[in-house]
Amino acid sequence: MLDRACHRLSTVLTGLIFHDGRLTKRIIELARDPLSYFGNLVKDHRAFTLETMSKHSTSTDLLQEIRQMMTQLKSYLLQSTELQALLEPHHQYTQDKLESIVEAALCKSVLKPLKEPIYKSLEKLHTDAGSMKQLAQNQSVVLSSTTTALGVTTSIPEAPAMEKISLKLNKLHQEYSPQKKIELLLKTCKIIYDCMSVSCPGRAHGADDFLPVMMYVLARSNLSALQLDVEYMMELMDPTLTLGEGSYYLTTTYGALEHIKTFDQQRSATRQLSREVQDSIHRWERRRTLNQERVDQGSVRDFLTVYCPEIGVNPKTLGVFPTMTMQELTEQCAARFEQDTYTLSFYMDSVLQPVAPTDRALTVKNSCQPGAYCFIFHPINQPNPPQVRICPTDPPPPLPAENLLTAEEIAICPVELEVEETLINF
Amino acid sequence: MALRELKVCLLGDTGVGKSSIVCRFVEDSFDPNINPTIGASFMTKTVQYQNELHKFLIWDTAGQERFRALAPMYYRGSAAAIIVYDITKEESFQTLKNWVKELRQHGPPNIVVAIAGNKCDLLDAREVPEKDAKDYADSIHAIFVETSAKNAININEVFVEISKRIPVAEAAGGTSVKGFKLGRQASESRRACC
Repeated sequence: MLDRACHRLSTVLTGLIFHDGRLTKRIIELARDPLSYFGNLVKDHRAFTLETMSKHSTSTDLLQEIRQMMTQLKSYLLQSTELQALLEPHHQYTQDKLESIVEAALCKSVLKPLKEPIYKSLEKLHTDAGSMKQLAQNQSVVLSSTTTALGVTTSIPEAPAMEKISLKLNKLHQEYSPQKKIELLLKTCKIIYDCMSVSCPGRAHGADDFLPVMMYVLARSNLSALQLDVEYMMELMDPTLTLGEGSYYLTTTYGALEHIKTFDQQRSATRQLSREVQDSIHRWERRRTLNQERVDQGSVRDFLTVYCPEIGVNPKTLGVFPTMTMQELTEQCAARFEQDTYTLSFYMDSVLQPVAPTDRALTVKNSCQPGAYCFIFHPINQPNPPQVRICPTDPPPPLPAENLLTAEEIAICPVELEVEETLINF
Repeated sequence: MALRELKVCLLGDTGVGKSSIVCRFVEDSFDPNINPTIGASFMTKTVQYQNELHKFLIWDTAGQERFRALAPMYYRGSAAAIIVYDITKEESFQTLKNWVKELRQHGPPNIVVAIAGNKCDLLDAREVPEKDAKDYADSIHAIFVETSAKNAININEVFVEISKRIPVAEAAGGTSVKGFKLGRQASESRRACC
């Protein structure tokens, strides 16, 4: 009887999920479509990120750049006719719902392929800065402290619960989506709360009680992995969720980590504040504000691929601001390709034409069909225009009447059929 | 009806009853749209105020001295701060004054400040006279209420007063919060307690 009721309920839920899941899948398809404008943006974004990843001097810079691009891709897509064409006419979405579907689809299209390189870069930055070593040293200090020294006043997780927590945190580490990571962090915190209540059922535990136990638990976890995870979540999470529960526990986890990093038994016994913690918090504070300002500006940044010295050779993806002129783009090319004497030309319909220095780079790009043109940075007095070859990455396509795949086409595409986990997580 | 999310942070010494106040405030709520939170450190409650819905997102902070440096992460972006002291512990009132100073120096410029003197059911053990606290609150133009989480006295009132001081939403209807400057309005005290 109960089984049947459950089955029914799940059928109803599956029905609701169906629309959302299908839209998510269509957006992911669009992101992969080399003939769509959005698909090109995503591709260029990935190339740009991979190329510039090693140039960042701090993990925050690296992650904030990626989040900024994601936010811009999202804001483009939400305003675009490309998304409108994917919506089913009879199904109404609230703006919030639509934004969260786009966010989830972006995570899959943008973050999933970047996750491994991002983690590698983060690890390198932290190892170089010595913070991994410092964390490991302090972890052992905290491990050897008594629960009283940590300020624990409740019961703590026993071995079976610690085992469960460790599984959750491992899974969190594997995830690519900041949102899914945060859901796992919340599940971890729930286990901690449950354990705290064992000695004193019914008592509500606030932050006074929770934070010390959190420190106790984290000291027994893979801290170096968690440190990267926390950064990844904090910087890449959907900026619209910064007031909520996930953000609260993420902040608390960050706080516990910072406290472990600077933990000093002697000092904690006194009333003196740790200067290191203060400095670190102030840095955090500044970063948050900075990030917010950047998001507020909302200046849409786009990308252009430039070849040098001829089509198909040495492509680089450059970030472009809306007001950037061809002259400025040429200067950027000179810096990136380290060729001061070269010039920038525009190639379309088998013709190589010079660019007007005052033209806006994005106006030129937007006047062309994606994949039908390219920019080339080449020596000024090149005797012959580069041989007409087919661009390996950007084949000039026959202009399609409609860039977007229809629902039927998507349905028969042999794409990944996995169900979106976030969407069934009620 | 427009829904506004208001981040509220709780400050004050450990043991003054910060989380008890919030639990009392949240416990009688029934909000079908909002899932219960996983624990008492972060709680939410939506109340109607005039023609708006105010969703309070309440961020508790650890009151131990050693965690004090973490507080900016919690009060940043808050529309209001409730600073709690224990009327039976003079020391907790001194801590409160330090929090006010810190908020003035580093807190959001327009944060609404509410002072809650908790445990007003323990009159026999009172160390902080109500008048002293009220005068101090007036001098910094903060909301002042004596509360008892235990006997559910004046708990909702704290939040009603906060709602009153949150400025009317801008025409855009966003969730952005721009509060009054600390020190612009006269405080309204509650004397109903005990």
